[in-house]
Amino acid sequence: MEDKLKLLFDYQRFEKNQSLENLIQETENYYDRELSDEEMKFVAAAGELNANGRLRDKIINVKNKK
Amino acid sequence: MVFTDQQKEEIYQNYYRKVYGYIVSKINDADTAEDLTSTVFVKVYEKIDSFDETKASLSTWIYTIARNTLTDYYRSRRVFEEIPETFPENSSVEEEVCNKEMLEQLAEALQTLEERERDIIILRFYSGKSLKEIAEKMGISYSYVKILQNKAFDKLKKLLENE
Repeated sequence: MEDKLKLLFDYQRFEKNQSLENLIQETENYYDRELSDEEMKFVAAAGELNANGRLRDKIINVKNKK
Repeated sequence: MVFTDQQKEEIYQNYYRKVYGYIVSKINDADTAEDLTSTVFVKVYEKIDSFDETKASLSTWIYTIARNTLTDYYRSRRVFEEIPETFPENSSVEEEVCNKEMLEQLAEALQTLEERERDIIILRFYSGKSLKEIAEKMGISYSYVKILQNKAFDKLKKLLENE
């Protein structure tokens, strides 16, 4: 499975599939961005949340409540 | 299969950006990427008459030449840089795996995973992050990342091999 995934993701760099590209961009944008001060405070205040839930969803929820 | 000069020109027009984009995404050096792209097309034209469309699509065939050219480049520079972990150096399965349909199937399969499982697969196999780096980014333990990765493998194996 690992070899197959390596090859498919490598081929994606050559022959882009838009659905797959969207998923990749969503993940890369999320994990590559800098957290804001507010998000950092939120992370510090909820140390356990990563083990059980998605930080991404919780940050979005906090932003929506603002 | 015999190609006319016009067909060869069309291949160049249709694939230059794909080949260059692929190579520059791997080595991040525009000048070297241009040189290697030229090398790829020299090889394509040298071998084009041996291309067999019953064995692989033209896209897969040119991709394989581009990948082999990169493999040679990495090997020639082994002293200076390591081959990236995500690079499929010795693959013999590209003809059955590398086609547009398989990329669509992978996208569909990834969408059925839980978000964190999907993120781990993408960060590891596309972005080239180690499991340790992924654990740090996600704020979870290395062991837990491995557990999630293995769960994702099991699901993907069923989804991709049942197609």
